[in-house]
Amino acid sequence: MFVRLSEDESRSVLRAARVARLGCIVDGGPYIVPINYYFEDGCAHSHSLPGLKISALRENPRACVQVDDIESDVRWQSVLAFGNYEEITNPSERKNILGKLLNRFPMLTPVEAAIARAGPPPVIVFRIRIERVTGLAEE
Amino acid sequence: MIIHEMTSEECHEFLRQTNIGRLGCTHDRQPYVVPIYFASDGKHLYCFSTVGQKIEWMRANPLVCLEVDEVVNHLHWKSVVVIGEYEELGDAPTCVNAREYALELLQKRAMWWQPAYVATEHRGSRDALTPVFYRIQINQVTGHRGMPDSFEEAGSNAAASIRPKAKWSLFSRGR
Repeated sequence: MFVRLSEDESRSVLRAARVARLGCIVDGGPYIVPINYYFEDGCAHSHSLPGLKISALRENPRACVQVDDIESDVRWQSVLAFGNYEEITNPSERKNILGKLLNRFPMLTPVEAAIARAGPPPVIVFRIRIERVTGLAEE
Repeated sequence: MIIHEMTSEECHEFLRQTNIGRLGCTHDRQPYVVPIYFASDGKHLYCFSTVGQKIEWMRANPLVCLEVDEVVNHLHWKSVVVIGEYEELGDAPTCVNAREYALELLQKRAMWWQPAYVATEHRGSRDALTPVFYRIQINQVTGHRGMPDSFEEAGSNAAASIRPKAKWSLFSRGR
């Protein structure tokens, strides 16, 4: 039986999850990639190397962040958050966000692996400022 | 970390083995992503839903994307992205075979839809029962696989102190 999650419940799912699927628009169609992120102050924070999703989000900042917890076919929850892409350029803010990301994800991710080997690359730090959240569950 | 591009065969094999993905569609320059069940036959991804926002949006803009991943940890993961086109398998006689094929393919994977179907029927809300079968024509498939490089493989058994003293290790707990 489907249950609609409240705004608070949906946001706590966003706070607890570690992997989200980020949706953006490329050439008029959707494009989805998995990201590691943390949710704070109403925003999903993440980082990336330059690529398709970053150029797409610079062109059209509308994005969505989807997280779920699927235990079985009849026991799952899924939260979808809509918002706008914002790139972080302020050096101290970048440092702060990267620090929090690396605290949460101590294992090196592809981005940091590239950093360790090739010196400072153009790492992009960004957040999706969430405007609307919906959540559904079946239990 | 070495990121390998997966071959088309590897991507298709992964799609055949998996049955949960995240489906993306768009409406008014807004992306929308939901988890779905699917079954792949190599050419199409077969799916089932009740009528809702995503069905309405895909009817309006059939360009869709399906992302399927398997994340063991940061160093071992796979992610496959299908770009394709939504095709509804409606009630028309021309769709009957495709619908039966979809059902057969989906039932092989799991009896995933029956409990929900039965529960809904008991509540008597017949509207929600209207099933929509659809398929996604696979136009493009790409995949990436993350693997530890030889350094990380060696490092995973040794102390964190052998990691390069990159600036970032200041933040890292160096597991």
